[in-house]
Amino acid sequence: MDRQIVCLTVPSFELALARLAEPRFRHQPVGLAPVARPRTRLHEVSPEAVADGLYPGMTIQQALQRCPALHILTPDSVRTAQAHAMLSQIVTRYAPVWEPTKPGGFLLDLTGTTRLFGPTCDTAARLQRDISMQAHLDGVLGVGSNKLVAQTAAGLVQPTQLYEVRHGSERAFMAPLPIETLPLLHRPQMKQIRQCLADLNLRTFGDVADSPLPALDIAVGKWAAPLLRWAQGIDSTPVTPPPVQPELTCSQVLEPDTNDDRILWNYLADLLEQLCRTLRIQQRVCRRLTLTIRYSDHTHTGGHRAIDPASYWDIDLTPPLHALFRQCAHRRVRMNVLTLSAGELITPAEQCELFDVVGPTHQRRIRAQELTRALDRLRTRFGDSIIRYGRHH
Amino acid sequence: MSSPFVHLHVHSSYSPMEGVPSLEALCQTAHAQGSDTLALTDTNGLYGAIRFLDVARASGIKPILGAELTCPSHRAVLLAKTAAGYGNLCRILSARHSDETFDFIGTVAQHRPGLIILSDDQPAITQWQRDSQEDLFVELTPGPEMADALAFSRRSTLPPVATTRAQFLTPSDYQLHRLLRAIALNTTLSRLPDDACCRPTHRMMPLVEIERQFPHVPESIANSRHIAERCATDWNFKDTIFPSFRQLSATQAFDRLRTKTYDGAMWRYGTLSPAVSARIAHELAVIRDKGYADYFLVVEEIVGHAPRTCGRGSAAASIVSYCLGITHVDPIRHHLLFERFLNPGRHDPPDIDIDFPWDERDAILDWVFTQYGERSAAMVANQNTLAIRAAIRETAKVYGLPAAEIGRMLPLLLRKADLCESNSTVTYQQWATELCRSLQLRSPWPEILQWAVQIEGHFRNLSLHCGGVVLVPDEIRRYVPVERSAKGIPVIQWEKDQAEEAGLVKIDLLGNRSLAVIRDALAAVADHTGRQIDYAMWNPLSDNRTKALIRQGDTMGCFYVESPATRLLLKKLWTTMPAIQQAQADDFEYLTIVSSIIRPAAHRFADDFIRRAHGQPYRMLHPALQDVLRDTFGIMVYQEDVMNVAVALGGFSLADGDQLRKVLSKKHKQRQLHDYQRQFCAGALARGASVPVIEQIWAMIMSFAGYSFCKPHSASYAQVSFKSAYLRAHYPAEFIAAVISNQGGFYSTFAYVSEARRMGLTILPPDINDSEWAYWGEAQMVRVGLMQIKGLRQELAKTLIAQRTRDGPFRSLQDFVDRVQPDSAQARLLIKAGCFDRIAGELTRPALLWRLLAWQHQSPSGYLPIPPEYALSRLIAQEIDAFGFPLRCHPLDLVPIAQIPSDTIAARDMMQYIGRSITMMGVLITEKVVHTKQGDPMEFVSFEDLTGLYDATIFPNVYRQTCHLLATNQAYVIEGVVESHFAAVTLTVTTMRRAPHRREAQPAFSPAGPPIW
Repeated sequence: MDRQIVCLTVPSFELALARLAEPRFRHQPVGLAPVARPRTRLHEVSPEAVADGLYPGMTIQQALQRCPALHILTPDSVRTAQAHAMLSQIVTRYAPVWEPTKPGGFLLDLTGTTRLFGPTCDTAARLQRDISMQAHLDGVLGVGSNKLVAQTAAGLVQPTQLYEVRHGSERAFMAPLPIETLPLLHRPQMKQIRQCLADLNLRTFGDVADSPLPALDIAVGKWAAPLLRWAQGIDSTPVTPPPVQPELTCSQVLEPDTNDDRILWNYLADLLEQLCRTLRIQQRVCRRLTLTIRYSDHTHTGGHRAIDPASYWDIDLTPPLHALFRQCAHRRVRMNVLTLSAGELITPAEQCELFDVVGPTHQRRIRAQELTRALDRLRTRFGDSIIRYGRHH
Repeated sequence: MSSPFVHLHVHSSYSPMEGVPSLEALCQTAHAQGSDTLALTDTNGLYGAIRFLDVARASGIKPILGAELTCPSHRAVLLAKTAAGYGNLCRILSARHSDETFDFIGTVAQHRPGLIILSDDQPAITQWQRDSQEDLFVELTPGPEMADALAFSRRSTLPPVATTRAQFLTPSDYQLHRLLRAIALNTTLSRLPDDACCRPTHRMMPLVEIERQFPHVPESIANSRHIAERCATDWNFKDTIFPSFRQLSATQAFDRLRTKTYDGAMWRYGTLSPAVSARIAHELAVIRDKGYADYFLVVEEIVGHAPRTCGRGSAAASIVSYCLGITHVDPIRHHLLFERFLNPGRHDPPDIDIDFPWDERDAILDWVFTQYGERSAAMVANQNTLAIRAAIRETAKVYGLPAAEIGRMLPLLLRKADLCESNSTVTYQQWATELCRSLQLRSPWPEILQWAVQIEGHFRNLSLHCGGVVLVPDEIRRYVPVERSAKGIPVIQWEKDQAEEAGLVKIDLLGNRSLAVIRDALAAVADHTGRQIDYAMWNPLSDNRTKALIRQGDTMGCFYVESPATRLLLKKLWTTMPAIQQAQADDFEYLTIVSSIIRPAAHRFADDFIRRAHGQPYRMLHPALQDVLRDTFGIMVYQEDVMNVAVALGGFSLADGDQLRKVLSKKHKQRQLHDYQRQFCAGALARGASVPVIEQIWAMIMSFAGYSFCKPHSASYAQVSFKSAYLRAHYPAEFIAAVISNQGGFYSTFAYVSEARRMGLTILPPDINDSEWAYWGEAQMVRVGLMQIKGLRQELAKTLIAQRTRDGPFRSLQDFVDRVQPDSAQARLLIKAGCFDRIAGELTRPALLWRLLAWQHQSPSGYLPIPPEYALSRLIAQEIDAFGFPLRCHPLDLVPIAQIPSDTIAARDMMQYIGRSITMMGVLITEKVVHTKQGDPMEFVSFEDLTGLYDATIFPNVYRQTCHLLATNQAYVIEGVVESHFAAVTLTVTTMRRAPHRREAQPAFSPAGPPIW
């Protein structure tokens, strides 16, 4: 059976979300960059900015020289994750197997769904319409017999348009396209290959397809055979669904932002207390603690620690959290969001200790657990705000 | 009655990123506390010692010199009891900074004579006590460690002494100390370790508090007074310390100098006229009386190691320097005053500055250090302090503000002219709050500003002065602590002002690219024509072609007169000068004036100067200035004009006038300047000058606080300018090749290449069989050098040139790789730069690259395809990548035709449109931002189109709208009005926009997805 792969991508996804959230940017030249510094490169640009000669990859400084009216926006990871999750729910209705490619981008394997949903192109168009109506976003669609062709086709059309590549015409479709079309070549580690192909004046997939394999082998080594296949429109990689892991997360937005470690630690202790209480209520223990910090310059950093043995007690998770904080908080820049996640959640083991454990550490742990239980009881009965530690924020 | 307690352990802002108070604040506080003596004990240094002596004496305080010596495991305060003790202190501090195996206890023990030691470091004191108990004290400081120290004092029978280890003055300053530490340690206030800071009690407490802290050891307070009385406070650093020439006695040195001078005079003049003999005799007499003979001989010996130098500065006014070959301008012919350099009333040491070709200077420095040894030679330091910009930036970083926000706010804050002028009636906090309210800045900016303004001017670290070398006759570590730079060069702890005030003689050995240009061009001329020109005796001042070139302002590439401003000034001066004035004019004198008047001090009088040079009548501000400013048409142009005007109108002595000139260029000058102003006003009033005239002349004098030249310096520079211009006029290909090869001129390589084309020269691309490493010019063509290929290593170029010279030209790429065995990445650069185009045969550049890969993989190349040659746009792009600019076309050729307005006027036709509004195209070559009197920024810009260079002015209102567009080597469409001023034509810009290159077009395709396969 012929494979039917659909590539759906919302171009400049984060920018589109930002413009949805702030209508005043809808008809303005807007660029998205992780940090608003002169030498930072733009990740995405709006069509109005494109009209002014801007393109992703320019530095902000260059872009502002060319387009002084440009607004620079920074990504909002929470908003992006929520929107991507929403799109995932829509995609799930149509595709038995789908693979996220990036925020706002999906590859759908619709092979064998013709009798259920109708022709692939029609299904893709319906998907497009649903996304437009429910999420108010315009995507581009590419349909082909494999991931490479579908994704390449999607890159050639404007929002709301669809490009279908018929079976058997893959090589002819690829031949006139510049080799830069291949997203793989934009990876940093592929810079040499890209440069080599450009040096040899192999500008299109057709040029590559016409070159003898041994000659290509001299030029690009192990990439010669795959390049030749791709130049002929051949790609057999499957669409692989994303792995799913249960996780508990809680965040604290810091207003005002701060770089005072004492205040930051107090917030973190609050978050940990909240997280552990939820775990205890759900009767789950975590084996992994993850801390994510967002700095005031919109950059993120994070780290994780294995929790062994798995636990839901504050006293067990506090030392790893301390270590995590020391590991992550190495910059001087103020922080404005702290996010703590408990991952790899499992049901607590029922087995008790085989031997009596004595010693001050153990005693302290027992006492801390008793205190926590007492606090839990109070909060269950009178509400969360009835009692709290006297931490200074 | 003076206080019974003396602060013996006090840090100032010269304790790097530790001490808070300035020297002035320290001395004022000590004075206010009733103390008559104060010790300065900065950490591991005497960075501010000479300034401290000055400030303390002005405050009526007796200064004690010392330092707190620290290393990770020990600490002690060392106070200089005697002059010998001061020398030992310098030696110990030098060892602390310079010796890799520094032994704290051993070094102090070795150099203890003349020092008083205070410490609570028990292992160290115990060791030193074994040698002697004399001048050894146990330091007691308020805090938990005091009990231990007191017990040790009693146990060891060593006397205790009270100190406060003062790092700041008031309790509120503790926050400043913590801020400085956080900046130094690159951390935040909350992460600052306790042991990185001093205690909150380490401040300069008044006597009452001291007595409260030491009720149980009153003798420790009394001991502080006893120690202070035993320490030297009458420091004298007035004696000049001259280097010694080969250990000759003063008489022997002078005899040798006299002999060399007269030999040199014969070499320079042939016969000695009475004027020359009299001048030599006069100068030698002054030199002998002041004991400067060794100094001249040392400089002469250094200069002797380079055939091409430019002795500049006031030394060029000396005929002795001229005869010794230190300088090359005849002071008699050009009326240069020896008194500007040396006069009997001048107390500070003379200063001889020598320029060497930039690539020879390091070898000269190495020779100096080899000849005199690190024992006697060291470089002068620059003391880097926290300027207001850095202070705000660093404080904001400690407060955790993102770099983008800091970068955004800094220009906003710095534009507030009153930023640094918080008046004394409001606190720093009130001032910062008010400023932030007016700028609508929210928290934490008020706090940041409040602290930043208080740490401004704090000493941060040392760096190397660009060329100042200090030579002493014996051991330099006797006079000043010496550190070691990152490159391992010894550097003293003082900057040039303190070094000079301490009597150390500085010789500036500086690098100069134009001397290398002249050297290389002369070598090429000798190579191509056989004509040998002796640099020292070469005097092209009367060459007509050279003079014509200078008069036209065609001086791009010529030393010091190539900037657009200078070229315009030359054009304005000469183009419309009436024939009578032209006939009488001395080109060299005018060039000397132009070199000086273009400097900031006198630049605003440039138009007046041109008018008066053209014959416009003018009136001197005061008749007394008639003789003084006659040559410069009543305008103060040179530094010595300050001295001469002060003497003529203010009634100053020659020495006082010279001192006024000198004080103007100093950093810490306000007090002295105020005294001189009073003296000048009184003198001028006595000579009948009116108050407005005095104010006008004083303002002219004050303008010399900016960058300015003395006449001998200008004359020295003008002579090098003349020599450059001569080469440009007679040997343009050799000259421009040398200019580009030595890099670092005022303009970019592209600008010089364009200029070469305008000069009628043909630019040839790099070639594997013809190119040298440097550019190479002969007759009417210039061959691009391999140095222009970005990323190409000089070793490969040397190898291939050697191979080519030995075995003949390369016949093909295969021949090249077989013979040279290059790194393939390097060979790729050569191919892409077109070096093989002439020997490639049927192979295109892509085909050559494919064959290079085959050679790299040791594969046969017979089956490799021959891809088509790159498109023209790609070839141009490769040129831009390889050379930094397109070689086969002008950047304006890359502008799409649709972007070029149909009514564009060429640069060569500008003259026809004076007063009219026109549209021009141009590539930005140079730009210079200046500020109007109102403080608004504007810019002078030079553009180039296919027909020539032209200058433009962007006034503030247009600049505000267009400044973000400006970038060097970018093409623009410019609209403006053509203005003519003294026949020099410029464009006053009204609008401008960038003209896109084809290369900048948006990529045709944006990948839709991430790299997933």
